Amino acid sequence: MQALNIFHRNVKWRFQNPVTIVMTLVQPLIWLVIFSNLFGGSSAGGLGYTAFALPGILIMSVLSSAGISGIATYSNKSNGSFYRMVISPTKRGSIVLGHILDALVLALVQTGVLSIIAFFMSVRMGTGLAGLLLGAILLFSVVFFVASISYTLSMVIPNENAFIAMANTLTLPLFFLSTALLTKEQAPVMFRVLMSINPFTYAIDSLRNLINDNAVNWTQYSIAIGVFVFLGFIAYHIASNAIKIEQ
Amino acid sequence: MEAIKVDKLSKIYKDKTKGLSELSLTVKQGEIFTLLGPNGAGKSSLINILTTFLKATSGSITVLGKDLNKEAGKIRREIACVAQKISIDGHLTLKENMVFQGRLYQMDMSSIEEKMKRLIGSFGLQEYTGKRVASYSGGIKRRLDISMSLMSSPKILFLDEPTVGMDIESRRTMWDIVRKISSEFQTTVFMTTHYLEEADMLSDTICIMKNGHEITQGTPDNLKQYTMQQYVRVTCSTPEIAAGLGSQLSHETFVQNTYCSESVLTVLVENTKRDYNQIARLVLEKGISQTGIEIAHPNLDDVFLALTQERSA
Repeated sequence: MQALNIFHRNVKWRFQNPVTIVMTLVQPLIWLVIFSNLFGGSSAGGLGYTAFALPGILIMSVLSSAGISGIATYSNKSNGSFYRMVISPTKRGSIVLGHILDALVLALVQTGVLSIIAFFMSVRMGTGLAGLLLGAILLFSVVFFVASISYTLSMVIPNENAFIAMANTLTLPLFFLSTALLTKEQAPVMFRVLMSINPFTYAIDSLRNLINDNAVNWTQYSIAIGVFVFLGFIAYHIASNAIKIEQ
Repeated sequence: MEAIKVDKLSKIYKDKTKGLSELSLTVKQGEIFTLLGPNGAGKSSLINILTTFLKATSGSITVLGKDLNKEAGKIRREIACVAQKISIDGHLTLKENMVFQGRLYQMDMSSIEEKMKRLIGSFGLQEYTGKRVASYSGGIKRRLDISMSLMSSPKILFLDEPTVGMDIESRRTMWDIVRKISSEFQTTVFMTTHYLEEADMLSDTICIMKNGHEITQGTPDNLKQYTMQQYVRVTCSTPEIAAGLGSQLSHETFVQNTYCSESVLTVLVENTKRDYNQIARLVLEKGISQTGIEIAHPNLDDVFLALTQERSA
């Protein structure tokens, strides 16, 4: 209930400032539309490039939007809202959860738009409605983890510019050192190791299975969801404790 | 039971800046308590600690009988704070802001509606209810800010420099609001200011602090000897002339004390009406070069000087 109060406040701001939704869509749309056409003829594990690239683009999309979501903390701090929330009896975890729910709504809009465009580019969900639901749960667990990390960073990094630099420094390598653009087999050996320790690789591979195959690879899905639920749980607790009387 | 009891509280920031230094004070329930001090005295540091936002380095704090270090969560239910800077959400309407605040304090919707109605009436906000607050004037925003802080019926309301930067008309309105909060809502008010007359006029108790430490605490009447002292000020042409005049005047029987700040000589006297004439006569007879002689009301510097001189004596 407390988290819903904060979520309602945040999401109201979000929809009054739709440019924040549009801006986070630009980059993944460029990847989806332009690169799919550019590499359309190339073989990527025997798949059409759009269907191959879509999981990576969806992950990139939520990674960048949830990764930057903590920036709202700086305006909350400067306009006094953060102080008002922190000195109230609202649980610290609810403040973080309100933030995460807002990031989830943004991710829902983003992934929805990208999926509809992909549908018109002939991408179909191989595993059907179940796959769609499983994919959504997986994407939301990714958002939960990334938004928690982003919130923690906004608590410890003193200003917005340093925060943006840090968010970009973290998200871009995570994207490029995953299987978003290449399969592990296509990558050089050293990169394969890095891809294997990147948790986003597991989410992308599982999404790729849900979109491109006819049956759910439950082992792959369980590992992916397990990794992100575990990481999300830890990150959420770190974020909740980061709103401490730290000064 | 006291509303607040602070004992030997110190705050040292990460960059080693000293915010508070062994500060002690007591606030009684139901009173208007004013913390008076210049900028940088540590007033905001203290408010931030008392409102559970900052952690103290050492010392103890009891708020409504609860230890702040152990029961911050319970204390948060009983207090609210109007920060120095207006802290309302511009993208919400007045009512949405109030509902948001009520829900932060876990109020149910019927209590929120009831309290909102009363506060909107009390603070004259009826005509602004449906509009987004971004379009309000500064004064209306401040009224909303205060009424939001009263949504949860706090037992203690902190007001951090509520009149800073306001013109005299707005300050008078704010003084009425502070009195209303105390009388109509039976709330203990803990206010900070650096205006001497404001503290004198509004407070039941005044605590004067400087450099993170309290200098004295008492009722405005107790502190009248410092806040209502009788001064004559002579603005001389040079600091040397002011110093010379100061040493001459210090031998006069009616002069209690003198001190110079640049070329301004401040003379503490027994009776300004009578002694002003004597000082003016002496200055004119001796042909001392000056640009003005006036009866002055004490400012914070005068009070601090009087208090610290008394301590050292």
